[in-house]
Amino acid sequence: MTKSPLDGRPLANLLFLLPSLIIYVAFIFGPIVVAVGLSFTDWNGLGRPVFVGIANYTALFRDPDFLTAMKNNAVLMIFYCLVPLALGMVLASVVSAVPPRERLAVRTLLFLPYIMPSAVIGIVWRWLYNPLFGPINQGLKAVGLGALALPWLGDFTWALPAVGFVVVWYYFGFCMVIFMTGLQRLDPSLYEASRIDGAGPVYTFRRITFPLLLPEVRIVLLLTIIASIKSFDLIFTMTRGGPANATLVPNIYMYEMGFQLSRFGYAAAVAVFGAAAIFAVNYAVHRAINPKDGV
Amino acid sequence: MPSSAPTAARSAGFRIVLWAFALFAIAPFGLLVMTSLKSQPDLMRGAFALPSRPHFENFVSAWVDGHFSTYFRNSVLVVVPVVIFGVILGLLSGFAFAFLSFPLKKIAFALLALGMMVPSEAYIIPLYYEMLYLGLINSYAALILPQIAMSVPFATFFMASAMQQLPTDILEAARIDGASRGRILMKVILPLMGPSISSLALFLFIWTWNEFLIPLILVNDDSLRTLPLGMLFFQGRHTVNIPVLTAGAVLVILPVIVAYLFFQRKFVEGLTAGASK
Amino acid sequence: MKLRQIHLLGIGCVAAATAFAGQTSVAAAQDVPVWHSYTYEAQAETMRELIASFVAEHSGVTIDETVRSFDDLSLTLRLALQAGNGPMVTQVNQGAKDMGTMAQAGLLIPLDDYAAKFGWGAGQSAGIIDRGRWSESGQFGEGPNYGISSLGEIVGLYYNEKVLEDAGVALPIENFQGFLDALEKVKAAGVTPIAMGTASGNLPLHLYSALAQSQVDAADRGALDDLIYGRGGDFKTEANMTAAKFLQEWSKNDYLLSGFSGISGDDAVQLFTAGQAAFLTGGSWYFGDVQNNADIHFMPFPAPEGVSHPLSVGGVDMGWTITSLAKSQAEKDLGAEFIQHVVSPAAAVVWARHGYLPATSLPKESDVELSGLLKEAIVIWDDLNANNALGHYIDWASPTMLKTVQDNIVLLMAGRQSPEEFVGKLDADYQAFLATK
Repeated sequence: MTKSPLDGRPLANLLFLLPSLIIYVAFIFGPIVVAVGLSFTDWNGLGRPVFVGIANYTALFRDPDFLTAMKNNAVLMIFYCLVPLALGMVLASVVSAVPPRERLAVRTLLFLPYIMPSAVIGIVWRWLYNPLFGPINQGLKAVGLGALALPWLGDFTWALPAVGFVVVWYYFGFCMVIFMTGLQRLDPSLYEASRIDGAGPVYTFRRITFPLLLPEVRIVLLLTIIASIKSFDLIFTMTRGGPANATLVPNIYMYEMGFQLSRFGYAAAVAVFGAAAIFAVNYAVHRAINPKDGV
Repeated sequence: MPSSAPTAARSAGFRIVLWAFALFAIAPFGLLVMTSLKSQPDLMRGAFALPSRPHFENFVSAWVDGHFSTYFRNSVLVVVPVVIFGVILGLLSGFAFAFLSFPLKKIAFALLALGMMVPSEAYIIPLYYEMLYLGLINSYAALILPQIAMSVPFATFFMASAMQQLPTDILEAARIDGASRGRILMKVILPLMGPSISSLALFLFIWTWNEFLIPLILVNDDSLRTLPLGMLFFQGRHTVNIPVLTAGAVLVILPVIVAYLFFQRKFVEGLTAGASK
Repeated sequence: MKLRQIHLLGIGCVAAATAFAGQTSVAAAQDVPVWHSYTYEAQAETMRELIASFVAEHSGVTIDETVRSFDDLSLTLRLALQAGNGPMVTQVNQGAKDMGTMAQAGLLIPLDDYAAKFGWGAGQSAGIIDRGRWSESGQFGEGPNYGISSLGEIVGLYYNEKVLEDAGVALPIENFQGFLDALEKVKAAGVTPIAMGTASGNLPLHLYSALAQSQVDAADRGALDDLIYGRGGDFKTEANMTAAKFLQEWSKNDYLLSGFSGISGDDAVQLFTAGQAAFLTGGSWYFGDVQNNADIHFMPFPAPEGVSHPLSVGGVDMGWTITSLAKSQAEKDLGAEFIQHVVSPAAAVVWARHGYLPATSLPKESDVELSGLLKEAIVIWDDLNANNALGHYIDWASPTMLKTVQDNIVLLMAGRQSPEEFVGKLDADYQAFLATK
């Protein structure tokens, strides 16, 4: 990497970094390290923690609820990552069909879900899904589809997809906007060439647009994967992980272990494992998607 | 923008699809606002039924019963310092990552990335004890300092990537002129970072405004609580009174929407500029 | 003359000084942090009234009130006390998780002396006071008492008189068989028999427990007590099995609100209040919501024939306690006086006036306006106490019992688990807990 014209002596350079680093280590990294330490202990919040080695971790792998949580998270990743990504990409490609003024309005509206506090969104959607008062079931009944008016968030099979649906709603505008920028950086002459050659829109999309958008795909995947493992507020306010752990995810499990059962050591182990999982998946995505050209 | 010159019909079709999705995106808010204007008997008549008259008293009720004036004030008192310091620190360390070399740079990078990936639930208990030892429990400092710290990683990377896109000749020229780095940062770089700064500020505003775990655990006093927490608390007391509950939700969401609509153009530009790195 | 004047002046000064000193020593105000969980509007109002009257009677004392929801209180209380922070007087949940662990860690102060002094618990069955007891060795139900409560709680059967009459049900319902007959008649009339919502809240738990414990006579309560106090025993009882069978049958055969798995407990209560179902099994804490419908009445859950004093699930709400933050005797005494202020017969009148069931009996000569439901509840409360027939919240049996019940009861109700399996899960949880003691 070329030396930047602004570079200087390392020690002087560090001065720029120091304030951020100090406050970050003090209030984030320090506590994280302590939490990792806690994961090797047994502690109920009173008295001193008792060192137990890797007992928490071995217990994790045999814990059926934890394994359910991991499985649910894997399924939810489809809704967090793949569906919004696909939707976002497709919508970004067709947004050119809309006049520029409207484009701005559409973009604004589609992005709106993302800026809401997820706790409030959970409350809103829980009401939307209410089997008796909620608009969704009332709407279904009104159009004669009453048979589909299930108790969504209470159904063992449909609770997870119902939650996933909300997640898609939350993220797809965000993905679309990222792809829109990506598209802006593409060279229109490529498309001219293929159009002259008689290529249809689907072919164009598959062979030209998609490969060139790989950098954006990588970013979107990274961000949404992180979001999926960090998810808490949204799912917690909608279902609390129920019914019978059908929508339990590792973060909610960690909350239950720590804040409800006061098993802080075990909860810390769940947290550490979750973070490790994010790292692993992100690393895999990073390696798998290597844009050939581009950024 | 690539144009595959779609036919008029196809174009109209795409427009319909897009607007349908846009409607899908905001429909829940529409219903939320409509419900907040109903009375409880109105509710029973059906989710889509319009209220006989708008019941603005729901908002008054939420504001007063829900102590929303206190929570609103607190949210503002917390958000402003967090955003200001988050941006300043982001500029400083972003500058370091963008242009400077220093030992263990890769490790520092990973360190900061770690903070973005670990959920706050994981380290909130150790953080609580730390605040206790520092004597900061139940104070605005307990709300502000950790959230500045939480803003640091994203602010750093965002500013760094935005700075790296600046034309290097200007920077070289300034350096040749003998200006110190601090001066260059302030006089040359800063003025060019307008859009990026405002989008970063907006992001930090949204995330800090919406944060609920930190105020929940680190603060005992009702007089220090922030808005989302008040909302959560309010829900516990009013699950039965849905119109007032939804009115409360609207009150919590409104400032964010206003800020977003105001800045949204710059916001999206900045987001995509930073994210494309 | 001059001397006398000086004398008088001197005496005057000294008098003034002592009076002033007396003023300042009282005005060196005592700030008492108090935490509680009375979040519902009417409850909060009652507390405000009680606090105001306490402060009026104790000049120089201010009460620093913090109100937290049930879950928040549980978490933040232990963190705060552990760190030497937090309240001097607080409500704390009975059971192993909160009161038990905190008492053992020395964070709470035994109340027996104060109880004797103020007469706390008079008129309540001994069983009630026992629920706040924790011995030094960590045995529940024995040893010093760490919590005295303001309010009583009964889980009983709410019924809508009008709906029942319209369906041709003869009131009053005498026993369990009568209840089953009533269910059939209501169902035949096209009305939902039982209001239920399992998406949140604990309605299924309460229905289940009420069913199970109403089959147990007060004379035979020993086994249940042992179970809850962790002395041993078994969940696989006849009563528990029968209750599970009925619950499953009712869920499968449309005796409950349709779509109940997606309805919250609070919604179910609202629907019941609106006349959408004939019965609701729930706690007396719903009085505030339900009393808007004058057709709704409250009775103990009907027992099978032959059980003369059936147990009704119930007890007292969270206990008031003094924490280790009260260091001096004066502070402890002040804390005790505050507790007395919110649990005394005079306080009972205030609670009753706001619609709540006090744990302490109302003074005979009080002329407070009681809602119909409250009158019914007080009669039941006195009767249950007199016969030692207050049952238990089974989630007290172990720290994880509540989650175990919540997870498995929905499976039972969906038909994905047999009654035997369900009761087996509860028992497994309990035995695992016993093994760790």
